[in-house]
Amino acid sequence: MGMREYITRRIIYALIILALSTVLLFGMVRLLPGDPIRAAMQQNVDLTDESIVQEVRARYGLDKPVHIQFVLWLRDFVKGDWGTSLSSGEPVWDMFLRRLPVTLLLFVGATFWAWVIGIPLGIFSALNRNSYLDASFTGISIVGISIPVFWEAILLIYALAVIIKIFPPSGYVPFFTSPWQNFMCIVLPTFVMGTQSAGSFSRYIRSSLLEVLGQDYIRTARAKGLREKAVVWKHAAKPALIPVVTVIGLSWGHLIAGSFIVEFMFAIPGLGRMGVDAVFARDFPVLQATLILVVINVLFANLLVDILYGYLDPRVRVQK
Amino acid sequence: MKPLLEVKNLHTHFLTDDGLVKAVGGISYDLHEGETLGLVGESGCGKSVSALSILRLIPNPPGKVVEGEVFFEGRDLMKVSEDEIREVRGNKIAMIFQEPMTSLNPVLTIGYQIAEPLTLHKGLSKEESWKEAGELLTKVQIPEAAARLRAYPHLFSGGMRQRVMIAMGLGCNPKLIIADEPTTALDVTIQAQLLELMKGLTRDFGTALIIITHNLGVVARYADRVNVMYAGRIVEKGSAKEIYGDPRHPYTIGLMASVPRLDMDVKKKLIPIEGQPPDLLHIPAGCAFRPRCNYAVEKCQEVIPELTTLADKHEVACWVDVRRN
Ligand SMILES: Nc1ncnc2c1ncn2[C@@H]1O[C@H](COP(=O)(O)OP(=O)(O)OP(=O)(O)O)[C@@H](O)[C@H]1O
Ligand SMILES: [Mg+2]
Repeated sequence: MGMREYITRRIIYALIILALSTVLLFGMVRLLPGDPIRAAMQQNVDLTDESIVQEVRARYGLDKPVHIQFVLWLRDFVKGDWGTSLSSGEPVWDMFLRRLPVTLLLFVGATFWAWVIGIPLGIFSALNRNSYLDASFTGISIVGISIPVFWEAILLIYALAVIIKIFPPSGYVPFFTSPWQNFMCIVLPTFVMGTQSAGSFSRYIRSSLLEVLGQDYIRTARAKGLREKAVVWKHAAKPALIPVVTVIGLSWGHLIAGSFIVEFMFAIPGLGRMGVDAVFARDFPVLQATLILVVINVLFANLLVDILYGYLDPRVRVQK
Repeated sequence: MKPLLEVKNLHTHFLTDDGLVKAVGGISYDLHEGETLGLVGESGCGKSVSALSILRLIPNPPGKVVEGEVFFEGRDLMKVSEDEIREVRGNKIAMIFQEPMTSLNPVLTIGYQIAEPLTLHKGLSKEESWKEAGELLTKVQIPEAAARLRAYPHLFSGGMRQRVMIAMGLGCNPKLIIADEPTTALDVTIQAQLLELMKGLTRDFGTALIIITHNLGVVARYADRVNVMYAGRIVEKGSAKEIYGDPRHPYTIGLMASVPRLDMDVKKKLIPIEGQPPDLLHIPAGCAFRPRCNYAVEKCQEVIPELTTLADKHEVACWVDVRRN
């Protein structure tokens, strides 16, 4: 019954899923075709010399059986020792710490756009159902959902950086170097990342609010003599938000996918870019860390959704 | 004495994808202070819509009150401003809805929902209204009322929720309570308890009551007067005694014969009314009941019978004098 028990149970579930996914990811990365040592050293070492290859392999522990590798890796991972990048030689943990703020900033920015655009559009559409504006908002939302991320990025760069030179076409300036330039160079990427979520929020909020407004208890609220405003905000908003919370949580998980493409296209040194580079370079330790971060991010978002659910819907709390 | 409520020639239509549904096709009736009126008829005949129309609670689109007047305390509710009708809703006229399971907001506490009209119409502070909500719950016989105020509706049984609805309706001492099949979803004992409770409370306060039901037993026991509706129109109205003792419309007679009565010989068979209630999209010309009527004559096919007075306040809309057949 209690909220605390409910949250504890949710956290335990999340941890179990995390454990299972680390095993899976570890196995999957090993199954990628190609030899990472050879891929990493191609340029600077004579690969015909087997002894050198063997030595490097031993140094990274890649000569041990897979399950031993996993245990060792997990132990180190928990300690914050995420290995070193095969391509740059830098500790992965350091790379992660350096890039995390950049990606988080993009996430926050993308979420900002998604909420600021999606939520008002959805509410307005629902309250003015079947008006012309509702129809055009529906059109806009569907375009937002279905436009490919890279295509939208190209269009926006072309329009707002090349033709009208408002924003820089790509690159990243850290906040502490210049807050203004930092702001200018994340406007386009965050907008692109947030577009899809904005579209789907608006659709979900519209249908969810419409459904709630048709419920018997809304009629009860009106029969009490409440103003329409009070009916919508006091009686309809909270139940309408419940299903939308799931969508908001899921979209936070999806932002990662957007960040892979967007950071690559806008040359932004974040975690997505790190992941893309790692794939091309077959940089195992980096790739693994990236994928686990993706999982942690999704689990975290889901956990937040569950907790919010418990808070919003009194019926959820009692379910076992 | 002037009646508390005067409904005059009320028409409510729904514009649906399939066509125009004439849910209420011109009904008129009066209700005096403290009186109890029963509104009976088969499912879909427009009972709920006619009640919702009084408070302008018909969802628009698709619905609309297209014609008619509803005088309440001297004003035509169909013409007053939005602000004025909101002053009436929940304050002077309260509604108790037919689905106790879905008519309470699942994410708001019982206390909040009962206190809401009190703060709205009586201007009570939060604490005062909360305290009064507790008293109202006690009045509708919910034990440990104060503790239950913080609970959410899903913890309440159907009967308890209906009590909450009644408490919510009584809060502002309305002049009129419209109870739309307040008990159909509940079992018989609870039904009886709730109706007794409601009747008792309205008697104490001199509140007028409209009970909408298909249960003729309820009407016989609790109503002073009865309106029998068929296909969006009133086909017979009169005192409960007259409707029971001397029904004059073939539909009313059919309705009586189709339900068991305590004073009836057990060997006598129940006779259901043949056929289906009409599709409100295609109401037949003439009398809507004609296709199912055993008494029908030629005239019934062509002209809709209007209500005509038989005796003191007993009116019937039929071309045939059923006593002669
Ligand atoms: N929102 C709506 N949209 C379209 N048609 C409606 C709507 N609400 C009611 N109707 C129509 O109005 C007619 C009368 O409905 P109403 O709810 O008043 O019946 P009722 O007599 O209360 O029946 P019941 O005993 O089942 O509650 C129905 O035939 C229905 O098709
Ligand atoms: Mg009804």
